[in-house]
Amino acid sequence: MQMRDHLIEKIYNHALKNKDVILISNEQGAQALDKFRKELPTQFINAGISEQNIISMAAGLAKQKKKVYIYSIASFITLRCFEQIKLDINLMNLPVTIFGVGASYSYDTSGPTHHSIEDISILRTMKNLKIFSPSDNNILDYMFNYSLKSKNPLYIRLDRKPLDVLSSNKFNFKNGFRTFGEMKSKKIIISTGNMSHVALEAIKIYNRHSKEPVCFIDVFSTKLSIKNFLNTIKKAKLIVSLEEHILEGGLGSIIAELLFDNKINKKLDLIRMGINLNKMYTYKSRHLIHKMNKITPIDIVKEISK
Amino acid sequence: MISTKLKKISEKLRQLIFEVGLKNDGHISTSLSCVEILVTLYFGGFLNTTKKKFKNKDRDTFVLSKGHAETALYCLLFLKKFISKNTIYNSYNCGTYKLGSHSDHQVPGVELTTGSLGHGLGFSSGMALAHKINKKKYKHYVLLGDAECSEGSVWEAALFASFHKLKNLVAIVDNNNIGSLDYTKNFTSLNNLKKKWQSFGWFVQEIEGHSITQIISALKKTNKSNKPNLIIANTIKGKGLSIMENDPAWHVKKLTDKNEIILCKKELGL
Repeated sequence: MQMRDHLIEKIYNHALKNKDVILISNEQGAQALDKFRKELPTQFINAGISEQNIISMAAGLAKQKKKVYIYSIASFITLRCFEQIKLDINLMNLPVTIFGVGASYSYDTSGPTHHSIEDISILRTMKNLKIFSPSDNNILDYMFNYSLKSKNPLYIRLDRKPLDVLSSNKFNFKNGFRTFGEMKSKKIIISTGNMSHVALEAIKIYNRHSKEPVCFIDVFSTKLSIKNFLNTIKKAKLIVSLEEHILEGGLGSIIAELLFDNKINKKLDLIRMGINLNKMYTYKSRHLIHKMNKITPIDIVKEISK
Repeated sequence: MISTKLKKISEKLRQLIFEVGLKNDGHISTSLSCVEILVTLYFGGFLNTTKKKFKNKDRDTFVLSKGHAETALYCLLFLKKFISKNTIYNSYNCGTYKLGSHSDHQVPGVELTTGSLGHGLGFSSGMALAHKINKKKYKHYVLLGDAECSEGSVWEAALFASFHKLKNLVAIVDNNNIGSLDYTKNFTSLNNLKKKWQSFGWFVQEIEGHSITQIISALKKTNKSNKPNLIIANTIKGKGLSIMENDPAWHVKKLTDKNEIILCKKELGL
């Protein structure tokens, strides 16, 4: 099931019990939304193509204790209304949950207007806004449960395409990341969102030929538990960060900042793999974009084999 | 009777704006154009809120969307006992953080941090919609600048409020015909503002914005409307100070000339 439908279904089930739940869309449809619109018309607002007003108006609803969810294409509901997010929900610290569909290059051939490859960089600058980047519907469930109790604004970036469940194992959501296997290797791949699936493909290829298996961390929040993260990577000599997002300010930057700020002064190499600014605006398929930016499984294997 | 009382409070508020603004470089001229509007809302029995009630969600609200008129709002909140005398005289715009030079939601009595224009109408629409959904009859007032109506987000909110028939929403445009640099007629097409808002489905009234009687009458008429309400209040920027009246320069210009200060004090009865 697509992530958006999975999440809307969750919101719908909760909205049945809680009349204060309001779901706002800017003319975006979804299979799961049809049921919501039909059965809970007073709790659904199609606010039209008006992202700036949607954020300000949602903040007003939240100020009056409504539980507000906003559904839109990720690039539209982050960039067009950046100042409204900054001031009306972030500065005011109002618990509005924005879920943007089309994270990274999900809308690959739709082009730059629909790509969301800089949202993490710009929204990381918000003090109160929490950013989530789920890699499967299992982790999305944790995010939805978190949203029910959250007193902060949230932004959840959803891939447009259905993603297989990477793992159903339990993990500590507060860490902001989950690990796969024992963290004993000196080589670690750290990725987020859909690229966690690409990372696992690369690891499968690498582990066929390598004596020392490579470890894997799936980061799903930009606010990591620093202590637990540093403890998890303490044996690493090489970290490869992987993202379908520009390198400026994205996941690789987050890790670099953490390592530098916490004075991890042992010999530790960090290779950041992601989208090059010179190649970011394109109408190519996702597969070709990965090739262009050298973030295919084979490219990743080459990096961790060095 | 009520208008006589409100007129006296308006005189007091003008004096305060001048004193506080002069001391710490406030936004004096733009504050002076909305004095009667604020006084009528807060002291005329329209805005059902007090410091005690402020944390409740079930009450009327006021948003200063033209957040650069904070000098007026803070002085008014002092008169309404939200802010102490010490705070308004000694902690305004002097670097102590308590009161800055734009409207801040952390100040008691302020709903929304403003200063960047085009946010207040959408925010108030959301609050108005929440009360409409909850079948509560509280009103949501928002004060916009006329130059602020150049912001696209204002018109997004205007369409939204109209579609949802937010009759509990009352927007007031402080129509002083001046932006921060120039007369609005020199940089944008805000002529026929009444027709513009009417065409968006609002109940529009146009009044003389320094006439308390007309403000009271217009606010009362909003109770009978089935549409979102807009009051175009024709005002004079710098009202009450002859050197500032209708002169764009005073949006940011500091009052330093001794003779001008003496003249202003005389005109305000200080």
